[in-house]
Amino acid sequence: MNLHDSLPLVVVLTSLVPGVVIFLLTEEHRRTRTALNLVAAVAKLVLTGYLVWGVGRGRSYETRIPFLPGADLLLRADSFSLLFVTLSAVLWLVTTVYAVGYMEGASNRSRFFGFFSLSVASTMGVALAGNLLTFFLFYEMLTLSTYPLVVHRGTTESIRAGDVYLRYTFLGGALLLAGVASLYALVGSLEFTEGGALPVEVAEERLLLVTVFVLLIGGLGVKAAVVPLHGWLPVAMVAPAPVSALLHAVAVVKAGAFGITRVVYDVYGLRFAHELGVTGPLAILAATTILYGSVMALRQRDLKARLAYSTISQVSYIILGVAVVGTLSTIGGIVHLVHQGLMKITLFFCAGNLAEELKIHKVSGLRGVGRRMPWTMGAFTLAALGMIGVPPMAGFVTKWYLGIGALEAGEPWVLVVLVASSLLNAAYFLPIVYDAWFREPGVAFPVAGRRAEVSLSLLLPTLTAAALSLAVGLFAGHPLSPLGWAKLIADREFRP
Amino acid sequence: VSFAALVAVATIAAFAFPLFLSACMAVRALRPTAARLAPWAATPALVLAVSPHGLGTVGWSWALLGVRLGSAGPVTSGFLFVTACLWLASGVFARTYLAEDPARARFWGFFLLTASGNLGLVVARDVASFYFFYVLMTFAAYGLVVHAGSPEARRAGRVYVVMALAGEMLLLTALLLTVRAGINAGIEDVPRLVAASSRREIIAVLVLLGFGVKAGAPLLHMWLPLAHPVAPTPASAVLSGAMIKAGLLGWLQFLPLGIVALPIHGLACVVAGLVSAFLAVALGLTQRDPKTILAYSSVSQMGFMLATVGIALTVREAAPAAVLATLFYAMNHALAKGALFLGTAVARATASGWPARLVTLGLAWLGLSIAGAPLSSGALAKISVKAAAARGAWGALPLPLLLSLAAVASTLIMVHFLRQTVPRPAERRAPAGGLWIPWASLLVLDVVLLVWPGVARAELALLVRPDKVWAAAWPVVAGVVVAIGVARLRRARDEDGGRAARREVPAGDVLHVVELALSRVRSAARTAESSAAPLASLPDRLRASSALLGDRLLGWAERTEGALGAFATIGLLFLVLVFVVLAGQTR
Repeated sequence: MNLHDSLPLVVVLTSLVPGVVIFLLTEEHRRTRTALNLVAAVAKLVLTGYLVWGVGRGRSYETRIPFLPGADLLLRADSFSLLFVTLSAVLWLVTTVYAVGYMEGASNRSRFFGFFSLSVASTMGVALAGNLLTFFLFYEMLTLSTYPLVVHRGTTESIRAGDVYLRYTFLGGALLLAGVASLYALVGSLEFTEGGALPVEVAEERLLLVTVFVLLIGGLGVKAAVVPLHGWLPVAMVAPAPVSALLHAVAVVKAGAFGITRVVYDVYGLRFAHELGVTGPLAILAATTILYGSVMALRQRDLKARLAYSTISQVSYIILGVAVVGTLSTIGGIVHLVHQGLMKITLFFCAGNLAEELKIHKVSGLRGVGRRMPWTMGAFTLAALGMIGVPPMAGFVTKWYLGIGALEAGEPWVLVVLVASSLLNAAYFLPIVYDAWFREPGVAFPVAGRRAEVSLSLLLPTLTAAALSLAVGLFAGHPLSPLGWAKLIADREFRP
Repeated sequence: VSFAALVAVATIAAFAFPLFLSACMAVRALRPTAARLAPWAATPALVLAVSPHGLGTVGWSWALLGVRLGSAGPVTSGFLFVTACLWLASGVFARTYLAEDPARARFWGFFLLTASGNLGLVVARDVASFYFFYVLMTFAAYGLVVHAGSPEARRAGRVYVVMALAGEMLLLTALLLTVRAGINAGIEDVPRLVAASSRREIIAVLVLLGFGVKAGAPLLHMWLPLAHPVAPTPASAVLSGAMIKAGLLGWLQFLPLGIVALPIHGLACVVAGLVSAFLAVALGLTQRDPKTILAYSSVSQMGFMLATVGIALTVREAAPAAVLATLFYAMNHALAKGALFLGTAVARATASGWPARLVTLGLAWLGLSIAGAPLSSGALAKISVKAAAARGAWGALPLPLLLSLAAVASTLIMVHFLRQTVPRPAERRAPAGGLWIPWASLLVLDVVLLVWPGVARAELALLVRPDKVWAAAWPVVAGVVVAIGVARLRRARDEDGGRAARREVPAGDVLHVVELALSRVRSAARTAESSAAPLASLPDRLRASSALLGDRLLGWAERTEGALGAFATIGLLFLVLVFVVLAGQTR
């Protein structure tokens, strides 16, 4: 195995090794821990940049390790996996800086950052997995490494949330395992292949293939929080803000959505899936989730809960884009993987800042907060407008492509869903923006003890994420923007 | 540096300069400088508007979905000219008007942002950028509407945002249907694309409704009489003068005018426009607040323009003339209405003596121009509209007569406005220069609009032809006579038997009915829940049951959510189901 081919493995190891080392450090080694985290995150970012450059020029990188008979552990950097890897690498760095500031003075920080790194390593594995088996292994590792983060605070509430989380994700894991095993029994190990990996001779086993599809989507749908499998997500809100940001923007929900994309495109193949008649129901499921999540978000009084339901709704945009048969909707769906990540992590950082600085948890407590924390609320406003789909934010590009894609595929009903969802998004985000900027505070906010409105290690990641979610929309036409990359993916791998 | 490069810089600066200044307003250290420059933010746009055109476009393929900007063509340059003039005049006006306002920094921030959107949408040459600037303007203008912070301002803001969002969504749908797999399209290609689309009827309806919210089309106008008056006066001027025209510009650019005829849409527009022209006047006549009267007058005038767009939609051959007529009408109305709004504040600051007389004269002239009195720009606008109308056959619809009668209505509302506005003797004072200079500039511009290069010499000659002078004069004379007669009658009645209570339709008219109905539904729901008393009438029962149904659905969703949280049920059921199916399969 030469150096080039080991690169995907190295990408996983850059988070895995620091994670293990951090467990060995004691609570007092704050500086070492922080330095290790940051160095690893930066190293991963550089490495990812190199991979993006290489794949952009048509190279591919593949690590293959013998594992089961007839089934290797396969890590492969193709353009789609790199989309997810880049998103995770960027947001890992940002979230690490945020988490260092947020967890200042909290207990068990070694445990926290150790599992934090492990969950990022798992996400990298999910992204780079080259076959279903490898995907499944990292997918389960992600469950195990995020559980300690959810229950980190150790309160009764968080333990209960952890229970719910585990019940849901293990059920999902069981379904996924059943699906993977059935496929393995049917056709052996399946490497993700453009246009679908299923050999022609099994195409007759329609009912079985449909069942397996349901199993796989059921298993992945738990993490992607598809209705009715979404129950864990709002409950998991008790976790510290950086964890919520990680769960909702990057790691967990995206692993589900990413997996669904892989199954539809690289296992079944979009054409064949369409022929089996499974894409239609999937699109309807996604549309239901989009609307249901938005309606529920409208009913929430707790800021993080509102954001959680908003996540449920927004992640299904990805699934909707995947399930509608056509190139443009595919682009819209996979680019939302990045767009939703950037916008949602901004919103969660803002929620974290508000909770940390002013102890605001309820939507009703946000009156007049714009004057006390203008930068935070500025970032919040940008991200919220993006969620509604206001140009030039990231969300606009997604909606534009999804809408056109739906028309191209001859499914104009999707437009109605998009419009309704935009209006619902406006209904639950704009009142917050209005309260923050245009109303007088109900109570006097405590004065900031420093020059910045909140400590810089919290503010800078927030502003970075907000700037990124603006930039990816504003520069969407650039070939290196997420949209440009999504077009490349659609062109290279996801030709329907 | 070549001339083309200078034009390119001006094109970018047209939207970028105000945008940059508004960003500077966010930084405390830069605020004083930015505030000093803010009134002049529209200068680059004005420079661009008066410079020779046809120099192509600037664009960046990497920005948004491929941004292209330019200002070629009479429609764009005409709109750009009046838009820039209005923003400039309002900016200078606002400097004095808001000098004492504690929240003026916030005002400037929103003012500049709105200006950037409004100027940007005129120079945008591709669909996605147009939508971006349009949305920017819509959202930023919210800050202007609610600036006063009063309950009325908040209510107006709420209505504004809800209706604007609905309009934006209709518009987005229309744009997506238009551009299709091309992702983005040049503005100049849009009419052709719409005409070629198999869904062009739907697109045209969506475009008419989507932009109709902004342009104050009948029934979509409800926000307008609420929002325009509550904003600070310079903001009202741009709202009612410039921003309302963005909707009209949208109609002109996004409908397949001159390529295919859509007679049903067109006739609907003509009828709706005429209804609006009369009805808005009727509603406006019941108002007392000068700015509300002006807002209703705007709705009425936009009715004229909607009717002209309808003419262009109905008769393909009439489209070029109708588009130019609409353009000139819009330019005249923008300048005159902007000046009238500024004039309300100028009049308030003026008491008696020759300044008062001058201000009265100026306001009267503006009123006459709106009404279309002979020799005014308004007259030329109305002549060209009638000329365009003459190119089509309207069956039983006496279109020219109706247009003349609508001019009578315009005169009536202008007289009503003047009665409520003209300076009344109190103490002797003259308005500050910061107020009257921008007002007077718009006034002068409206007069000299007649020599605008887009107007043909032959048309100017029409203005002094005796029959045209008569056609322009009689509606105004009739309007003034009716107004005086009504005033006399009313005075006589008042002297007879004390003041009879005058009816005032609440501003927002139809909205009031909608809100009333909504609150009835809500109270009916409460009654139905609290008491088991049988409801008498069928409408009551219907209202109650629909409200209950809504409550029940939401309650049901919440209970489901609770059950899902408990998890045990659904997850296990699903798992069992799947394994049963699987077992059945593998056997």
